[in-house]
Amino acid sequence: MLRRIFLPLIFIILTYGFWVSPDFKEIAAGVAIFLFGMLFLEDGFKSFTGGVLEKILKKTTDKLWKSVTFGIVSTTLMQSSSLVSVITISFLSAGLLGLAAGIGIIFGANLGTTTGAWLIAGFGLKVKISAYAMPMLVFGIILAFQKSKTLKGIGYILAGLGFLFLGIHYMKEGFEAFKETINLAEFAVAGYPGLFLFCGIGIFATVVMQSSHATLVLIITALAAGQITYDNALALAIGANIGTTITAIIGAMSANVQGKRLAGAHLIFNIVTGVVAIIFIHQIQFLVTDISTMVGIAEDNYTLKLAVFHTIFNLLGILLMLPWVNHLVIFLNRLLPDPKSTVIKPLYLNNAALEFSDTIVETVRNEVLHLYDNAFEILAHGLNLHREDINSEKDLEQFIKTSEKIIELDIDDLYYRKVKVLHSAIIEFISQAQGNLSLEDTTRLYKIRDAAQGIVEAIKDVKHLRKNLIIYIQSDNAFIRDEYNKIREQLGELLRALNILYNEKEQADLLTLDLFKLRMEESDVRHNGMLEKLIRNQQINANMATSLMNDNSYAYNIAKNLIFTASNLFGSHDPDAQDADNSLSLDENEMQTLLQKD
Amino acid sequence: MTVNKYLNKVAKLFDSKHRQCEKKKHCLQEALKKLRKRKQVLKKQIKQERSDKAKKKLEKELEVITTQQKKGLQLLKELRKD
Repeated sequence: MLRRIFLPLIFIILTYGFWVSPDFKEIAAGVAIFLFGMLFLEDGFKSFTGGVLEKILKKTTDKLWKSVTFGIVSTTLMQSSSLVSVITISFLSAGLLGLAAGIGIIFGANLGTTTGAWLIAGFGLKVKISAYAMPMLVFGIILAFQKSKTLKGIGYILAGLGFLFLGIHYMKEGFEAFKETINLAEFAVAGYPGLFLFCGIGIFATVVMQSSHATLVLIITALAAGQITYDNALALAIGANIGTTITAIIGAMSANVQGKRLAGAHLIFNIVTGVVAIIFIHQIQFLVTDISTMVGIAEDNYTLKLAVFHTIFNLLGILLMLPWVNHLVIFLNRLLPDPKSTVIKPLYLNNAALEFSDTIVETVRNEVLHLYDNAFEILAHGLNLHREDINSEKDLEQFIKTSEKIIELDIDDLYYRKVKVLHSAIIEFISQAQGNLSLEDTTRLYKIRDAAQGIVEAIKDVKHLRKNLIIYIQSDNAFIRDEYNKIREQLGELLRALNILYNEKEQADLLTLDLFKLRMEESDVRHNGMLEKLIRNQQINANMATSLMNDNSYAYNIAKNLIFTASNLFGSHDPDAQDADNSLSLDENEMQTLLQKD
Repeated sequence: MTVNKYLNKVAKLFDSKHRQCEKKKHCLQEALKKLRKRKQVLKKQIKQERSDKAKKKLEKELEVITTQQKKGLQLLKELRKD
């Protein structure tokens, strides 16, 4: 219920915001472009999984000190800890990094970002990375269209970075209005309350401006103008450090659970460091004064002192938190657990069943039946049919004509979660069992194994068939629509019959499968005739004809594989009864004789 | 004569080939029994069916069963001969 109203509610709020404030529109667009950039970046990094980038990352982050150094260097070069955090989240989401290494980079990024304070305070410099957004987007998109996987990956990364910068730029632009209204002198309060208050202002200002560097510029300007005290400036710098985590939090919204954990680590690190810095502010101040004197910074040069403070308190934070990294990983894993695995696990396979020949065969049979259960969903949905409609007594021909609404389906995902894992487990179990079986049982086991293979083949063919099927069952051309609906009807009827056999268990009469073999052959002949007629009368175009030709072949193979599976898997377990059924089953010649009767 | 008859019966009882053959025969008879039953049901359905298309489908099924039945009866005959 809540989910159903959540999306419309968000749309209403956004629409109202766009109507009321153009600035809000810019900020929201900035967030959207930023998240879009994140998706690009993740795709880009994913294309390097298992390649050079992974090797480099593994080598440069395999120890905690190495990942901290990596964070320091990359942030010093990029001049944005937020960006490094976001990229690290992408690495993590793409599986290129572990959480501990990611945390190390984040810690390093916090120290690396303090070089920005030195640049601002010392040279009044600020590297404007947003200026690179447009060229990055252009080069990135050009590269993304290339065939080479590496170039494509680089293109995605460049375009992702371009979108990130552009998003941040729009967010900043949108918040300009807020920036104008911030007058720090209005909040001057002495003592600890003042420290906490200014820390809060620092957080707010950084969240609003999306840059701790921008906040630092503001602090230095206010400090130079005497609007705030040195203490207030330090508290603002601490706040800016905490506020900068918002970019990583936004970035983690589109990331997987690992990315969210890293954003959590970033937030925890900056909050803990900030709180410790506020508590020991006077001690840190003494340290700053000592170091400043040592390196020759004038006593009244508060801007450079601020840079020293920024570096010292981040360094303290790292020293304080480094020994707790493993605990932090455990805590975050607990706080943000992995989403419940939806991968189907074997129900019957277990080592105890390997002891006896009979239990091995029956265990494998039960597991393959379990596999069939899972496959049935994919097969039915692949044909754009609901399982309950197949299992009902509805007239499938009539029903299919009216059911054109496409069932959303990710066959690859379902195949991996519900079929491949089971199939692999079955194959592994069979290979373990082979030494314990008689020749007769080995033959029985191989028949069941082949049945499982038939299921897998049928799913693969359904995947291919579905590509055109979902297009043509919605086509305006009634001829092509009818042909694809006939395919659905025939396979739907076969699935219905197989389900009946499945439910009859050992009592199932497998001789009924002959009827479906005959229908399969009949429809193959009919389809060929019909195809020629449709082309001759120009009722379908050449594209449709080739699609139909291929898809008829897929449909034929699906039926063949499913019938083969059923004959090996369903029915009596008694080998003599199976032999009797097999001996009555029609051979090719008998099938041909029946076909020619029409 | 009677003793011979009994001895033959006992010998058959211990003859695994014979036992296997008997089991095959039994299974075949069971399968044929099922076919006969389905054939009867189908015939009734065909009589009651009004739609030509559905009738045709049922008749096709009947043809398949009849062919299977013929094949089965032939096999049974051969087994009995053996």
